[in-house]
Amino acid sequence: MDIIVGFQTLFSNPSALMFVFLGAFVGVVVGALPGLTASAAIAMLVPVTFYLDPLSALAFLYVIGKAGRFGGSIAAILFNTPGTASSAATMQDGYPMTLQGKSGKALKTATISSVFGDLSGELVLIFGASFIAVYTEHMGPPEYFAVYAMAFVVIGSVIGKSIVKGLISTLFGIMCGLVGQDPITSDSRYGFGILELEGGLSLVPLLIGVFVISEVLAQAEQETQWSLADKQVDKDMDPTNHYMTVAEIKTCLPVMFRSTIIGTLVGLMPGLGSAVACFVSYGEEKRRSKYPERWGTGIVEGIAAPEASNNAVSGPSMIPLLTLGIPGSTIAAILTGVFLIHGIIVGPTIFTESRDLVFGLFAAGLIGIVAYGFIGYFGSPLIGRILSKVPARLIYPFVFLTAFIAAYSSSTNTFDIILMGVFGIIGYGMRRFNFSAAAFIIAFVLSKGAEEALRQSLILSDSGAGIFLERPVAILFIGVGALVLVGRAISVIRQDRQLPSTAEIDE
Amino acid sequence: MDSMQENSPRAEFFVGVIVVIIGVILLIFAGDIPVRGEDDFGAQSLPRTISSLIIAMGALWAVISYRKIRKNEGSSGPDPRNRHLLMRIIPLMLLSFLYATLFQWFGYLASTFVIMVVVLYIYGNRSHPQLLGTAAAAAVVYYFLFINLMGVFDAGGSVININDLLGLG
Repeated sequence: MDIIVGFQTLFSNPSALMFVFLGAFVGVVVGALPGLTASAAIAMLVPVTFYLDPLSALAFLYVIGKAGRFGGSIAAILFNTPGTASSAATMQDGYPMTLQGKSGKALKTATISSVFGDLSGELVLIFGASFIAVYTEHMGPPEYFAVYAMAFVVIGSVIGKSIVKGLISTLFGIMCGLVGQDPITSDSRYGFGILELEGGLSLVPLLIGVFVISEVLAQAEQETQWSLADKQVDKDMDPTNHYMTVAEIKTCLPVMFRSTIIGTLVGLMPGLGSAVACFVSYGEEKRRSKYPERWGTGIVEGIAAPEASNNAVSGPSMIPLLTLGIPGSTIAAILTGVFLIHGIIVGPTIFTESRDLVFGLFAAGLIGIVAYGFIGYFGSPLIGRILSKVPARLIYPFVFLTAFIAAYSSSTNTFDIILMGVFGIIGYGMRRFNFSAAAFIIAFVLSKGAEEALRQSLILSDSGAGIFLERPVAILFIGVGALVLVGRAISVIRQDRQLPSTAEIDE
Repeated sequence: MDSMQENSPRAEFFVGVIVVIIGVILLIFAGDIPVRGEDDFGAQSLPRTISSLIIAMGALWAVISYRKIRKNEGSSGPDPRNRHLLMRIIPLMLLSFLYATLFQWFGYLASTFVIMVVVLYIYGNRSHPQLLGTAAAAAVVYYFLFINLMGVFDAGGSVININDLLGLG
């Protein structure tokens, strides 16, 4: 049982254990802050982890990601403002429960469902990843390139509202990844004579720019800065309204179970993420319900479904990263960078070369889930009340300050600050015009590996690009990518045809 | 926070055109990448392919948006998000670059204080004592946390070395 070895590794490292608890707390608080996502917090905190051992660094950031997904439900339930995109569906029944004086019950439902979904997803990761890695270990460059190509197409086409914009975001991400020296000939590409660009664009300032600075700019666009002080915070102290009853737990268990399966499947697909999972499971459970008309009025199932599902995404979304070296989510993409910073190559060989570390990370994930579960169960109302006292006009200047020092400290070079500023403006533009920042970042991280796999495949091949059609596994992955793209295109065209134009409405 | 707000088809058309222009610039610069005989694929191939795809996708988006303009679809009128473009968003965009310059000239402590005052003001903090106090406290706490405790390098400033003046160096 490797997971027991993982627990031994974790418990023999008190620093890592401490960072697991710290990560759980930071994740819940950041997730509860409207606008700030777990990805943004992780991006800012990556440079801090340079000073830590690999397990502490990875456990800290991994647990922030998990706790951040849950933390979003606090703002959604108490203030009708989703802390993260993945908690948007939770608002539909969470806030009506707060208005009915049942915020305690709503928060506890969210906590229990999140922990249930996350634990199940983590178990799928623990037992699934090493099993899949046995097969992916034998894959060569052509198969790897096919997987990369599939990931680019799937991420580009499914991650946003528009396929074209998703693909443009992906292509720009690939292009940014090509800056620097060519991997085979070492020729300079898009270096423009700037020394700092010869080594390629650094991940940390790029992440901070796209996720954090763009959010700081987006917040400045608000007519009045949000303040949670004027929002409804339930002060009703009736204890029966603050706990889940046994009957409610019985009703919610099958909902949580089905939603966890949806979240797990969504998590396995690169790029889809928890925001998609929560709406799919909310819609599915509402469809299955005997009383669909009550959904949206404040029922516990309406919280259990999205929360179990969005947290179940967390573990399985790490499977593509650990078995293929391909991150399936933004958080996994950032963790790829952290693995590399600590000299660990991600991919199937990680289970043989860094087995203790990987299972230590899985153990940290399990402890982290329990930790944020405790924080959420007992501390959510308090966290909500404290956040309601701090206005955005104070929070975002400090976020700006932290982003600056984080970008600088990654390599103590002021060029990185300029890079952060440039990508902050690009990220803001992407937000304004609905391009996908997640597709951009994932493509940026994947591009180097994809190019290497492509070039190695062509060197191995006698038939040029024909090598990809000679390998069954490569054909399978390319086929899946093509099917997803065509399927998505058909669904978008159908939706467009169903919507009448403004001119038709006027007639 | 609403990142999925719809833009007018006219704005989307210009987005498509800008994407095409960026793609063309990238394609032109891809031509400057050296090509060597020993590698058939070459350092140029992928940048050329990707920039060509960017041009194609940008053109497709421009055509889709143009068809919407012709059909009179989508929202029209001024975008409410532009209201604070001049007074808040553009100054904030420029601040990152100003921060980098001030940091090199005056070191972390002084540059952080100045930038924090400006950012707090942009975000609507108008009480002067509170603004100055918060900025000073932020500069000191961040200096202690990152420069002192974490050991992030601070040269102290090339124009005026505040650290030397305060005896921190």
